[in-house]
Amino acid sequence: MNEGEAARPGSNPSVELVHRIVSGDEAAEAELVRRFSRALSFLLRRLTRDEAAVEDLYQETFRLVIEKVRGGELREAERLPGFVSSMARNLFLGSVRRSGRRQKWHGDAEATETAPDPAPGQLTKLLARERAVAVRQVLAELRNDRDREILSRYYIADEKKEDICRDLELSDLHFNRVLFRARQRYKELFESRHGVARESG
Amino acid sequence: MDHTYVEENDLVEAYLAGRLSERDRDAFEAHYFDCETCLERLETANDFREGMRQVAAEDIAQAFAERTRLGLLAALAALSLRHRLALAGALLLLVALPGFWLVGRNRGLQQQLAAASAGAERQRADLEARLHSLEKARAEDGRRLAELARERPVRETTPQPAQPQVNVPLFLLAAVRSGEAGREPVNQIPISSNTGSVILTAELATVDYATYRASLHAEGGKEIWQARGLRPDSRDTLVVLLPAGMLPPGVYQLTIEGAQSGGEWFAVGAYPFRVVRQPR
Repeated sequence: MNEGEAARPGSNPSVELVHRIVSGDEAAEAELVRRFSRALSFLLRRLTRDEAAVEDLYQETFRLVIEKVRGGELREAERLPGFVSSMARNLFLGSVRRSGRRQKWHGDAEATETAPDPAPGQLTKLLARERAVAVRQVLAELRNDRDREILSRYYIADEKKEDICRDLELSDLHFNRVLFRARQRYKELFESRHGVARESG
Repeated sequence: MDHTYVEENDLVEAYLAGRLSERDRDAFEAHYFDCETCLERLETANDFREGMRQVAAEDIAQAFAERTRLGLLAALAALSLRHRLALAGALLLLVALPGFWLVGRNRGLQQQLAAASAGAERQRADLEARLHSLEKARAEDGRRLAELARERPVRETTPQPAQPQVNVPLFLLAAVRSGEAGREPVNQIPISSNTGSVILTAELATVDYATYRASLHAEGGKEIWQARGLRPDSRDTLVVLLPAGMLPPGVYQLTIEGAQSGGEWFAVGAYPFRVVRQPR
């Protein structure tokens, strides 16, 4: 690592973490995994619905990141989060190219909705049902049909925010408020059903 | 990229909808990898989006099923009584067909089972017959084996027919008096290695006894042969043929005793002799 370019250790959590890893602190490596584990899982599950691939990419991403950080290949330590996310994305694209799945996905690696769903497990199915129950309750609690229409057109029909606002003569603020309230209510319901705060996945 | 920028530009929803440019997407990913709040919002928004789609999919499936059911009922209602009866008959047939097929298949399987049972029974009878014949043969073999076992000792003990022998050595043994015991015997019997038998003759001093017995003792007094119920020949002589193998080189004594019927034995004569090996 180029000391001249790096920020002073302690001024940024990423910089401090990178310095510790470079100096051979194994606890810092474990901390790196803990720190980015949730975000990495979220990103990988957006990229692919294949749980086995998620698991493989998760392991491989951390392996390579730690290897490169140890070797001082991360020049700007404060960019560690972006380094991890771009490593994951690159590894995913590499795996898609290797398996030829990119063609099946119409050239859009991120179009997970159209990607094949290889045998979703029981837990995945259960979570999907739980989500649907919570969403139905949110929809039932909405005061008027227009709010339901906003949610349906935005989330299901994939219409653009500007188009919906124009059609329904809504302000951005109103539109955002509907979405925000719906999501917050959903979160409350989902968490109350499970008793604890949800975790990713 | 900071929170203000993320919220003002509604990046969470735009990211989930895939509407960010590659550059903004990468920047936002780098941001939420380091921002707990944005990650939380992303997860909630993503879950809600997924839930909305799940609900829509369920509603569509339910509506389709309902429509199909209603459509069928409506079509049924539009049919005349005759057509309805025909349709009911066809449905009944459709339901009954698998039943008939199963009954037929069951019958076929029962026939196969019966045929297999009969075949197995025949095989069992054949095997029993073979077993019976084998047991009979074994009994016969056992009987023959027992017969052979009985015959073998008889065969082994039956003396082979005597072969003619020429120039059998004949020795006339001279009796000694009792005072000569322990001296070198006067009777010397040379026997060559190819001699089969030797004949010993002992002239008896008296023939007054009803019966005689002869005993042959080796050096040291060990009795190696005895015969009872002997009677001397017309020349008052007892003639004994002994296998040469019984007489390895050494000193022997042939003792003749006589007794009246059932009475005590009395010495009649003692005939010591030495057997010597004669070269061929």
